[in-house]
Amino acid sequence: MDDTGLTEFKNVLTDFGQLNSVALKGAVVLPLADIWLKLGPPQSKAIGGLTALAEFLAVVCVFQFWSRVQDGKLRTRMKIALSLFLVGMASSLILLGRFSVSPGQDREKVIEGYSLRSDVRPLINDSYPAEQALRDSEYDAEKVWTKGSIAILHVLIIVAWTGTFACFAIYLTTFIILQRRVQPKANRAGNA
Amino acid sequence: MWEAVLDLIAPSARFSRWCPVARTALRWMIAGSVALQPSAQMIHSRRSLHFAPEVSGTQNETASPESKRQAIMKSLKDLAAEQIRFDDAFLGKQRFSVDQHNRTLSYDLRPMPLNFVLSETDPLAMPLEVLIRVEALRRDFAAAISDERFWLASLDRIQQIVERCVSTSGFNVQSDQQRCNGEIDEQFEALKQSIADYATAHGLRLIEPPQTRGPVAAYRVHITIDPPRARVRVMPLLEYKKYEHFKTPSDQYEWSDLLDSEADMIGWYRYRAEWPKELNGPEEGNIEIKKKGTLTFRPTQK
Repeated sequence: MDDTGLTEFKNVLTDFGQLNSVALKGAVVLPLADIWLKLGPPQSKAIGGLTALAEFLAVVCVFQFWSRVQDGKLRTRMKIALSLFLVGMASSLILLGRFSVSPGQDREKVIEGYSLRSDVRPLINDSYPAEQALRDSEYDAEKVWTKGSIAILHVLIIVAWTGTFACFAIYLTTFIILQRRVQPKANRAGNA
Repeated sequence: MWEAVLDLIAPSARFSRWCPVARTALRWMIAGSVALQPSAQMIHSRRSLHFAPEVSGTQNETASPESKRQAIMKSLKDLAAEQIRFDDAFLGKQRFSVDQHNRTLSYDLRPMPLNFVLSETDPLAMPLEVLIRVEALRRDFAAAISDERFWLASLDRIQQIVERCVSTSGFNVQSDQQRCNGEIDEQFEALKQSIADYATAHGLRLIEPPQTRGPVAAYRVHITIDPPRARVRVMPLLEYKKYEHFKTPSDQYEWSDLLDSEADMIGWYRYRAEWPKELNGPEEGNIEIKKKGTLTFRPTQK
């Protein structure tokens, strides 16, 4: 049978003794922890599932399409994935910190908007910020900002969050592929 | 005498915080049901929150369980029908509508919390809530799509399940109750599918029914009004600030009544507690709800 990328993927997953197998499975499952932690964008169940799925697809695609790519190209792509992961993580944290409010313990974050509603705009000033107006409106963002601006920010944050984890999965997978290429060479050298 | 009956019923009616009229009407209807039907009476022991019509007097000893059950069902149906007639804002709110101009359809099949109908532990609270929902839907379907027939069969089936499941002590033993609840939920699910099919067939877009509160899950707060001789009303603080800023006359403020019961709240609110004059009269202030617990309103001491 041909040694395809997906065969390698299967080998990695079924190799329970290997650290890289555990790391890969952990990386795919990691976003689901947000269902309880509620650190990411709302809705945590849907976004947790979506992010895990995006990671899984990224892993499958990398194994399928990049498993025969030369080492040099793979290292470059791995560096790009790592860079995008770091940028994405920073963007996600900045966006969530700037445009989300946590209503309290065990409650989903609320995503703000960037354009205030016309009936709320006259009330907002330095002593009464928009975040306080959100607390004063039962955390219903649509009573403070326009629906469109909330939707745009929400989509932006979800894309940044999901993309960050996908980049992490790509980085980890390329690292595993490279490691699996190095190990047989090392074994051959050891046997000689 | 009837004042005493009403006083006994008062704590059992923990329904709308938005609609004191509906609450008062249902209290009176329950009292009226007791007064007008010789076969039905309220049983309250130690001010417990139970509505339990039973065959009374000599009839009580001779009547068969079936006739008792029928009497209970008749009382429940009458109460549900009366509720729909008197209250179209809360328990009897609109649950189905079609906007032909915008080609949209909205519906709400969700149950009301049982403690808004009768006491949560009352075995008749569940059947009464279901019957009120069925009556509201029957009214709205008849007004909006009287030519259609799919809803008639669905609502009749739900009513039949309630009739079958109600015993002389409300819903039967727990296992039966779970089965009945499951069957009722199944029928509402089937009705939901029928509504979706109807919307598709007629090119109508389904829209969410209007919500009274935002999307964030609120905290369950137990409200205590001590002494219970005040009308306590609240509104989100942002609404209050908007009224003040736009100089809305105070008699046009839209407050929500808080009952001596439970409410789902989160964030900052403006409250107005209208105590009697001897207790310093009306009092206003701001409160923040950031966890579940008990919220007690007491008049400020002089």
